[in-house]
Amino acid sequence: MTAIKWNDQQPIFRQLKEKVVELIIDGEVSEGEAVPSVRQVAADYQINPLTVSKAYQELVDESILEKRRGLGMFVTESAREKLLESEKDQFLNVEWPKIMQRVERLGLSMQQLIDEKSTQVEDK
Amino acid sequence: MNIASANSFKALIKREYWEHKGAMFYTPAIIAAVFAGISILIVITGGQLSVNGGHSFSFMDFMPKVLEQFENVGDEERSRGVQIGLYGARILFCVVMLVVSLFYMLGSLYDERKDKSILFWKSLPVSDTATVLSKFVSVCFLIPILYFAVISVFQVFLLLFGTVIAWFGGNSGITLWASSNLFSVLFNSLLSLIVASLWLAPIWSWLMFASAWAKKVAFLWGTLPIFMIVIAEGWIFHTSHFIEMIGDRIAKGFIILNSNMHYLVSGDMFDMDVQRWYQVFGNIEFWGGLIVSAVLLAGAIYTRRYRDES
Amino acid sequence: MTILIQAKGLSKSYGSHQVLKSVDFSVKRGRIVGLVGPNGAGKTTILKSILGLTSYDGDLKVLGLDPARQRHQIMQKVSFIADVAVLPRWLKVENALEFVTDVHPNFNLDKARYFLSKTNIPMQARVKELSKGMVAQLHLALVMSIDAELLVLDEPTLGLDILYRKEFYNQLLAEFFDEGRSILVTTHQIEEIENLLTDLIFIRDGRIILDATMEEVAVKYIEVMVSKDDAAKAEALGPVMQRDVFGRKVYLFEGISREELEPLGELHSPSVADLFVAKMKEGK
Repeated sequence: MTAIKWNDQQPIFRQLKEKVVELIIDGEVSEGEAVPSVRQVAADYQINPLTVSKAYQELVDESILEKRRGLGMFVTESAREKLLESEKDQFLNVEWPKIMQRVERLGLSMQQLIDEKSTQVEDK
Repeated sequence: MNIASANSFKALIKREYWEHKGAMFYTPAIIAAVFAGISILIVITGGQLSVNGGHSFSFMDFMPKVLEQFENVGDEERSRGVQIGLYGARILFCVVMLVVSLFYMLGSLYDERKDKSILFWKSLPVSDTATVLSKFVSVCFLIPILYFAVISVFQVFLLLFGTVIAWFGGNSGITLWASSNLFSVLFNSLLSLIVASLWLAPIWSWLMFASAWAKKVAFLWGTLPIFMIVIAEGWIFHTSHFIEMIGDRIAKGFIILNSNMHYLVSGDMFDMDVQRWYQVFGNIEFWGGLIVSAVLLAGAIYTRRYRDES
Repeated sequence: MTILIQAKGLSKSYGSHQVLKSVDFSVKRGRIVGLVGPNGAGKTTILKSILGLTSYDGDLKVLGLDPARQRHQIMQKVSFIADVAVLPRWLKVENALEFVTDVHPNFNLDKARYFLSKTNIPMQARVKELSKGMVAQLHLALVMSIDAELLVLDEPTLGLDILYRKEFYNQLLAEFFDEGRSILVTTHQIEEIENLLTDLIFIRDGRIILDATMEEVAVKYIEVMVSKDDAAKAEALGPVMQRDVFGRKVYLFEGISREELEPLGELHSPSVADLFVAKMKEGK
């Protein structure tokens, strides 16, 4: 039974969803494998089964998970790809611009940082 | 009553036994064991007893003389003697049984409230009616039956004991068994125990009712109201009917318990209208007592059902 | 029947003291409802009324039945744990199983044995020989083996250490709760169960001061952590409560949309405990 510190900024079902996504991207749960049952997750993390259902349902809507009658929830075949795609998307369109903004705000130059990084790598 | 509620009731009786095994079974059993042990001890140690003044009394010398007398006495006399002995052995157990029943009833609806276990019992689909009745049935039947079992074993032990002593005296001991009228003794023993308890039903029911009310000390709640009524009656009416009635009931209870023995000892010397256990059924006080009992039980049931445990 | 408990105008007085003041609420099937309130607020009285353990005024239906008159039928489909340690001390584990089997039509003995096999509880032990935690395990094993539609819990984990407490709710979720049943629970350790709840009811001085689903609560109650500059703006929106955290102010808003609040700072969902404190302070 692992304890998760849920933050209070996002609804729990969304945080749970992100956790599941993390597991899939990191390869902890492979495509075609079953994810723990709603009941199991609810009991292990001491949250309401409806919350878990909601998280799983959204993932089903996004074709990350699929429900197989009588067997449970499984990771879809192309789940990892899709997730990596959307992560890449998110990074490129939202996070990367933010990082660049910050670099500028701090008065640094992107080129400088890259050069420094390459010399570090060469030294190793 | 369908099968489900019959099972339920059986379970409730089992519960009473589990909860009170000590008083209902081990108490008489230990008493019997102790007496049996003492008897055996006396014989084994050669039966030497020292009385005051250094006068020594030998059990083993005494016994053969008793046995000789035993053989020479007439059949009826002998039978009387043995039966009196067997019934006599019962007396202590009967007294203990009444005391046990008294405390059992006082605690019956009180203990479960004191330790809050009533919240567990009430979480199960068992009616208050069934619960209260199971305790009443336990005091009127279960306890007498259990005590009967122990008494009977003890009585048989006494006969065996006597047989062994007879052997020492060069006797087969068969006459002991033959004249014991054992089955009659057992039969009367059991029924007098049960009937006496039923005769005392109004007292049991009163105590149970008091135990349903008692806030702290059940014993006070059981006895104080009685005292109050007695005092009130004396004060207002200058009579003492109530206490006489109670006293009479208890006394007759004892008599019923030991009526067989009294009869054997002294014929119909006791000039009371309740003597032998089977005579109770023709006695209007008996049935009146059961009616009063029913009313008190209904009160106990109602109290248990609606009392607000805060 | 989707509504398992329906209360309308439920009231109760002890002498001149009114403990419940015309309370309305309902519990639907498949929900876990938390009943939160200070001591003496009326939580226990509500539970006792539902279980037919006390008289009351007003309208109350449990599984469509009347607790005052049909208690026996209700107890076949409703289980409750008042305080996990009320099992009779002289009772043997084995006998407890035997008793409930004989007495409860909806009790599954095999299930109970299975639950007990996962614990260290010996069959021959008497309740008085068991630790408090084990008594809790035993009581829970019995209750979970009863096919009840409604489970009422009154401070079920009181006095238990953390391991047993976590296991208690874990077991309930893993082995007992499903969309056909509902659980009504009161506890002082609200943080422990706030993620389990689907519905929340606050009660104070015999009155219900909040009755909402957790989803509604998430939308309606938002906390904002605001820098000093924006404090005035925040206060203009009419927060229900404020507190100071490390020099910054945290405001709690009721019924103001996320869009309106977003510009003021970081948005958080208040914990049920904080929400409760806020609601309790309201109107004082």
